[in-house]
Amino acid sequence: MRKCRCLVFICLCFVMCCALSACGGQEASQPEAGRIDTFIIGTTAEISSAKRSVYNFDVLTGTLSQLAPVWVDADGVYHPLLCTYSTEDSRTWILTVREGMTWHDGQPVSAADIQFTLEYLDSQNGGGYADSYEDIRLVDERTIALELAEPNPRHLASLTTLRILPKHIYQDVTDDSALPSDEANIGCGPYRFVRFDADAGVLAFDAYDAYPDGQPMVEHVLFRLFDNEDTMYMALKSGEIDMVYRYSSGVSTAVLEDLQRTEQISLLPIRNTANSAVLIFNNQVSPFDNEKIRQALACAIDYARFRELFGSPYALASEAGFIPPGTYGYVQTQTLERDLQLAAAYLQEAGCTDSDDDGYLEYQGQPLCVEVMVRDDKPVHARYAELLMNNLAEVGIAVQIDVQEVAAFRELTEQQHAHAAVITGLTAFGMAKNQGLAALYLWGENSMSYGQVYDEDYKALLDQADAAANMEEYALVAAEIQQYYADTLPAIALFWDSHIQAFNSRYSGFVEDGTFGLLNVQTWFSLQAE
Amino acid sequence: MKKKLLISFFCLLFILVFNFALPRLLPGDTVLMLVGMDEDVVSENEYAYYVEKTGADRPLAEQFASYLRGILQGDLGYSYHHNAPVEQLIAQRVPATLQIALPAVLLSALLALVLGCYAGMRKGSGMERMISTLQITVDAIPGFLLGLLLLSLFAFHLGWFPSGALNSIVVPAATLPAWGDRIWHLCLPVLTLVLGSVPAKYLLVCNTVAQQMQEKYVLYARSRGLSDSYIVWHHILPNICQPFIAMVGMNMGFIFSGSLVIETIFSIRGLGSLLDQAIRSRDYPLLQGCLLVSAVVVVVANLLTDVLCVALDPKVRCRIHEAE
Amino acid sequence: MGLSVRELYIEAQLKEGERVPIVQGLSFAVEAGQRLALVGRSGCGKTMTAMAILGLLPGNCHARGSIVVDDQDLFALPEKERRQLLGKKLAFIPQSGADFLNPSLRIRRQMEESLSRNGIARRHYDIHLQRLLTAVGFPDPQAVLRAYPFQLSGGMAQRVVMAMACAGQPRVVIADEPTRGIDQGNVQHFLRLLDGLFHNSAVLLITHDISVAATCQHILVVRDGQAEEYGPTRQVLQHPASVYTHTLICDLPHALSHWERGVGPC
Repeated sequence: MRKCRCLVFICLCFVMCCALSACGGQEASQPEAGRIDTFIIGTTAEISSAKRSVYNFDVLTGTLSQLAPVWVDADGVYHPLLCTYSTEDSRTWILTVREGMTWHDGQPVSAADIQFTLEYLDSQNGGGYADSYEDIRLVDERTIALELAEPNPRHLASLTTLRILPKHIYQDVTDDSALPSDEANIGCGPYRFVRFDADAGVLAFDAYDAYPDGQPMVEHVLFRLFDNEDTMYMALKSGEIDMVYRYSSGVSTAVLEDLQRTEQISLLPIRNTANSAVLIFNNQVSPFDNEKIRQALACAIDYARFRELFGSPYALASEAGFIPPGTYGYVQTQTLERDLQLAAAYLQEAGCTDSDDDGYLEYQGQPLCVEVMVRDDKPVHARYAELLMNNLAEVGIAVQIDVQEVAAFRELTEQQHAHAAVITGLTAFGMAKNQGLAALYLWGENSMSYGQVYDEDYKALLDQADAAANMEEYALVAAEIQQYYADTLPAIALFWDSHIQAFNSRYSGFVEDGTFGLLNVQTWFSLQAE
Repeated sequence: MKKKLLISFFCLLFILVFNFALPRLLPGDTVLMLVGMDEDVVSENEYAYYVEKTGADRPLAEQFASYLRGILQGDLGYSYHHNAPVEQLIAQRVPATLQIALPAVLLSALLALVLGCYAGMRKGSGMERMISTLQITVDAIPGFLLGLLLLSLFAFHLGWFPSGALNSIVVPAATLPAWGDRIWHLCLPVLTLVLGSVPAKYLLVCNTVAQQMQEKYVLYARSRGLSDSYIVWHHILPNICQPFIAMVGMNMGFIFSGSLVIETIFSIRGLGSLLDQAIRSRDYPLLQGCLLVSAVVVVVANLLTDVLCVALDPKVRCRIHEAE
Repeated sequence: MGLSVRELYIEAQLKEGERVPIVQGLSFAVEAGQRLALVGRSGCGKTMTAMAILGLLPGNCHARGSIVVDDQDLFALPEKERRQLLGKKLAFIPQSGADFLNPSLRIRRQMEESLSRNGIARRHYDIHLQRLLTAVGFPDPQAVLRAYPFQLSGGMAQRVVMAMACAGQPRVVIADEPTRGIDQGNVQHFLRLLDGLFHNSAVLLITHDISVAATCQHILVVRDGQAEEYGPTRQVLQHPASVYTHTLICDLPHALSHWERGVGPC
């Protein structure tokens, strides 16, 4: 018995010693003033291995080690990153790799790398990169000319996420998962990939000494991978991690209030060019082919209540122009507000009457009923629809909610256009597609057209946007398009919400990037610690 | 014993057949079910490729035969979401899960035994009532909540333990401290699992011990002047170890499912989080692989406990001995 | 010296709060080297009396009076010290060894516990085990030691528990129906063994079998917790004062085979 106790005691001592020595091993060296030794970012993004083919990992490297030719700021303006750029006619784009850019193994970055990347991605993804150009020419060692079939002033948008690959490593590789990770992750950014530790749930990056813009402010950048949001926010509150990050997303509204109350945490809303809560009419079918009816509905919706119930404290009032601020070419249009009298007036103008006195209006002899289709995987959309039902009941319009399974929803709306109206969310990527400004979702001939707008005026405006020679011209057309939306209301944004970013208040000097938010190459050179 | 082996065999067979039949019986496109893809992301070419890959156009009997052959060779299918064979994905994750599941099974069994014996000896006393009430209360707390509470208290408020993962960001280079670091990281997840799985076992032990206290051999042992604690540890224990071991065996399954939640909370990349991912991304091949593995583990664990019980039962042991 | 019980009362507390008397005012004494038979029908309180002496009454029972073992009043002793006497000064032989031995432990292990209780060093265990088992008539003690209780016959188990009681030199031996599991032919042999092993101890033999009681020096006949008749064996058996004793004697046909002489007409 005594022997046994002795043994247990020795074991316990041993464990304690181990634990203590483990704690001792983590001592950090004191960084010089203003510089930050280690900056830890928590994320719930799922990363199973450190490979380019793992989407979330690929996105994170874009903020540190892998550079795209250009970056876009929060106002939608493009800036050089890996390359400087110029264009005469928005058709031929000249990219020149900046002086002194090298890969992390010391090789210089060349124009051939850009060409190789486009071709390589084509071979991996079955097209969409090199084959979208009419011609690709290497002008000199560091300069490449990309020629489009037609002018596109917004072409740089597609270059903000094109992370250039080192040709000397990838040229003979068909299956990139076979490459050892230290080689496969050679990039040209201010940080180089160090390691991925699945057991510790850590991705580590170290500053790259030979980056031409000098030393970034942080020496070591670590990503801590969390499987559980609550744990991550607890870690943020306790100071274990310095910020939380998720690509194109923000802090969930559920924990926002709690984080707001926490002193050592700063919250920063950043621009969000997605349109996460919209009501889109099928402008081809009755009664939504009648502009007066659309106007009446727009006046009947209680936008303030939508923001209060579903938005974060940073939610913005939406505008009739439909395009959220932060989008390039955004102009301010009339703010959407509830006005029941105006709604009633519009309805009367449209010829709606309540002839049977049941409290609900009739239009062209039929009861006026708005059938709203929502998808079942986003329960909040159905809740938007319920609030809409309450709002419209006050002006005598009935609402019928039609919840469809995702596949059926897509089939009925995107393929058959059999819907009367939908409540859904539009992604930033989709909003920017084609001519941008939600054209993908509204112009009737597009396959994903919820709006089914076939108006000649609208078509003319989109053609003008296509023909714009440069961004300034494009901005002018964009303003007209938004005015067109504001006048005819083919779709209504219920509210606009920003992505709220949370980080430890010790830090300041974050730069906002239109693609990556607060984590980006600029931030690493301006970040300050208290 | 033969009967038990037979039952286990049929259990395994049933699981295999069920696993085979499930994607083929569910409503929806069988091929898409087999590869775990949504129809709106699959092109016609890809679809044709999947049909060929899964052999869904061949007769059922042939499919079943090749499925069985695959399983026997350790081939659990292919995850198209991960672009990797399922058995490889599972093999990668098993060590992490075992590291929390095994200590949890052992520790919870030990704790339940000690507490159960201690309280069972004093059935009806204030101490026993207090322990039992505490156990029932802990049992009523869902696993994820328990995990979050422990995490919040020990990792964030007190800072005694790390907030997750299996080792520190920088693992100490020397072997001993590296081991210590791992054990230090395992403490909270194992504790969560242990607390969650002790009550059922505790109640079993406590009640069985209390019941055994009424047995004649206990009275006789007492009449020989043996102390109560000696009686519990040396006389009652051998008599209750069979139901107890059976219970621990049954518990293996619970710990596997329980670690699903625990792994997510503590950001440990084990089978549980793999299963979680598979569910969320509707990765049916992976899902089935995980379920098959955990089902097999449960069946095998039950069989093992049966064998162990038989081996521990002197009556059966002697009979076998005599037969020889 | 020996065992002396005076005015022993045992009460059971039923769940409904009712108190039921089990034993009322029993008094008897056994000298060292003597044997007293406690005789009565089942349920008359014999076994409870034994448990009261051992201090192992069920939780809901309470005993008062005085029980003196070698000048020590057991009721005056603290619980712990009382427990100390068990297995040393006080030995107990249960009804049927096969039921009372732990089914999961080998005989060796259970016997060693009794030896260890009496302060015998581990290295002497083998000699003592050999001695004890030979004394109770086992020709091959090693085979018995290796066995589990369920591998022994009733008689063998009974001899094992007797050997265990003998491990110390008990002052008082309480044997509760020690002949129950034994077939009739061996009873007398068994009783002679008992006699031989514990010739220095006071033996309280609890039985419902008059023929077994007949081997003792004194008999106490108990009826419903009360003493019915108490006296030297010969006197009680040959001239039973009460009808109850008389019926007890007559209930046992085989009793006649030994005691036909002098027993009254049934």
